[in-house]
Amino acid sequence: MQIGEIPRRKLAARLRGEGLHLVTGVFTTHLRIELPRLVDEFAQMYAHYPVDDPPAIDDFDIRMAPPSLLRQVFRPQAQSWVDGVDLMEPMRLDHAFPMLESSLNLAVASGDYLPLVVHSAVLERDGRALLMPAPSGSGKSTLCAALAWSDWRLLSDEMAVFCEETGGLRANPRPISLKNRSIEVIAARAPEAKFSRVYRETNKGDIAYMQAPAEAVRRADEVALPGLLVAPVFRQDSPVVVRPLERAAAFRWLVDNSINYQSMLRAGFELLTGFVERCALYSLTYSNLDEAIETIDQLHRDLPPLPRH
Amino acid sequence: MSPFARRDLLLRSLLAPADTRQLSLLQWNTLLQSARRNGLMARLAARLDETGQLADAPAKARRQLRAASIAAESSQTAVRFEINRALRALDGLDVPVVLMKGSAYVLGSLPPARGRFVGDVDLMVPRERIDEVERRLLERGWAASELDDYDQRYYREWTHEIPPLQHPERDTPLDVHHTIVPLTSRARPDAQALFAASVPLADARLRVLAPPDMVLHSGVHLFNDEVGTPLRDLFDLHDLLCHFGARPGFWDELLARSRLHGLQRPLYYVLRYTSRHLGTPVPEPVVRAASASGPGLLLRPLMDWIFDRRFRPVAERRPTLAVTLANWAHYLRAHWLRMPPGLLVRHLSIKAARAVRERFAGEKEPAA
Repeated sequence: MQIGEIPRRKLAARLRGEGLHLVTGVFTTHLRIELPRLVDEFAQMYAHYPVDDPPAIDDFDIRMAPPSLLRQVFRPQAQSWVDGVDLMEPMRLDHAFPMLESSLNLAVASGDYLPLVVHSAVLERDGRALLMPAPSGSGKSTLCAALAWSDWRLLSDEMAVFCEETGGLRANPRPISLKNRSIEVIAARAPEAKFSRVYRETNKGDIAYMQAPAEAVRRADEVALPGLLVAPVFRQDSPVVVRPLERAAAFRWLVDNSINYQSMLRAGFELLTGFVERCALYSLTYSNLDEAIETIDQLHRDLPPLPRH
Repeated sequence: MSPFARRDLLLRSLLAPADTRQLSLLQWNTLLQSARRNGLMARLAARLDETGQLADAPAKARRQLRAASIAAESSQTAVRFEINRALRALDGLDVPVVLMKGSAYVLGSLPPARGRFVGDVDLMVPRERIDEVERRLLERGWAASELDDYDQRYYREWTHEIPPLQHPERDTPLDVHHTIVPLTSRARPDAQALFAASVPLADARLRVLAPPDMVLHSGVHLFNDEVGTPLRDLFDLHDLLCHFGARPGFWDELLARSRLHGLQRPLYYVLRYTSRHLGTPVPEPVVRAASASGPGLLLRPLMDWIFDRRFRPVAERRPTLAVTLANWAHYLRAHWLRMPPGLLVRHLSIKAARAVRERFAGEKEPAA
């Protein structure tokens, strides 16, 4: 069952009561919401996501509620609890949805859930992954959103979740947060894209969320094998410059952007060294979105075919 | 198996891992959630692995358990490295270094180390050498946490350790102690005897407490202090008692050392609640001897009420009123045992005043 198929009243009651098991690709979140307005915004952005029914094993437990009785009336606020712990300061009620999104990210970063997570946009085409590791705020989200509406399938715009068994990447498609100007750019390229309202003055500035494409959510259990690693650098007015990346430099780039490499010991080292060995590695400086996408498509076409088993 | 363990999914799975074979997916979910919240996820992974049950667990459970194992292993690697750096810094001082708690379990290869996350390094040096040790560590790059005058004084005059140190390049805090309980507490363990009986490790620069002292220290810490994961720490004691209990003479020594250090009461609690909750085998004569030092007959049901709730796995989303009350009672009791009444009133009022200031000023100060 999908979230959009549940009547709104029933959805609100379930979120307030026993909660919902939201499946976003590799992760399942036991989600409870006690903020009526957030239910609507959540239902809009996650309408096409499946729920785990009957419920099985969750990865995280997130509860969104007012921080106190007082804060329901006087300057209302929202608070989130990740596995029972309030990891953030309360935010104003109007920012409840960005807070939920941050909580879903924090849950991954703070728990000992996975072998390895790297800050990165991840997309897939013909079964091969495109990894663009970069710190948040580096402009990778816009490029990622644009690719997600071209011939690429979105796995995640925030985190690369490595799969220990295959050395590939698992999907965790979620709404993509975009700054004001990016919203116009993406809306012009992809009329089918759906956006949330604009949240003003969040800690990341004025942002809106773009719904993940339906196909990305439908195919979220497909693992992508190593393909391309592109370190993106946005530079105003720069022509497209592609440079091959040394393996050691690519490895270093991944380590610098990883959330938990330090604590993953040999397992982390082996995953990352294995990954850079199986990928074509480039750095890409760009200013024009179309040129960047064209270049990435060309790099993808130039990939050597996968070895046959 | 104790009645507590039979009723609780987490305890049962830890003590009889084969029982997990019959679990439904939903029960697995409850089990993993409970293990995570009680700091026992990596231990569960280790127990399932040792008994060959891990392969039969659902794929998603296996993935979560493996991640917890890696995190625990990695914390132990960090602890080994921190100790290695500290030894290097202390080179030439010729001071006995006794590892305590998690660090001792890891470096001493003791059973509680299996599947245990260790967050910091605890070590003990003789009180008359502690200034020298602190100076050397500060010279070699460790930094003291920033504390106000009250907290500085609190640590140095009233506790059994100096303010925690941490090297800016690493994540593992280093706590340097000179005995096993705060100076202000009622109990007065014999620190010299602790050092004299300590046992060298393979790397002879390091020592750990003698088995009975180790049990008494972990016990006094668990029952007279604030700890974040009481059930995990009770399992540490269970492991130590099962491991050392097989050695000839251990139990007699344990009773004798508890009298020497004035720690008969904490020992009574250790034996009562490990056996009551985890079914730890304690010889009958030892139970009887320790029981003589237990609380009075009127107090016993109250202590049971408090500790039965304190050691109940926290699975509920919000603790029940009874659990909150029990934790509160424990907090008061721990403080009561830690300092004489006058000092206690002073300490709590300073802490309360600070909480009020923070609330209004909106700025956080480091807590004592």
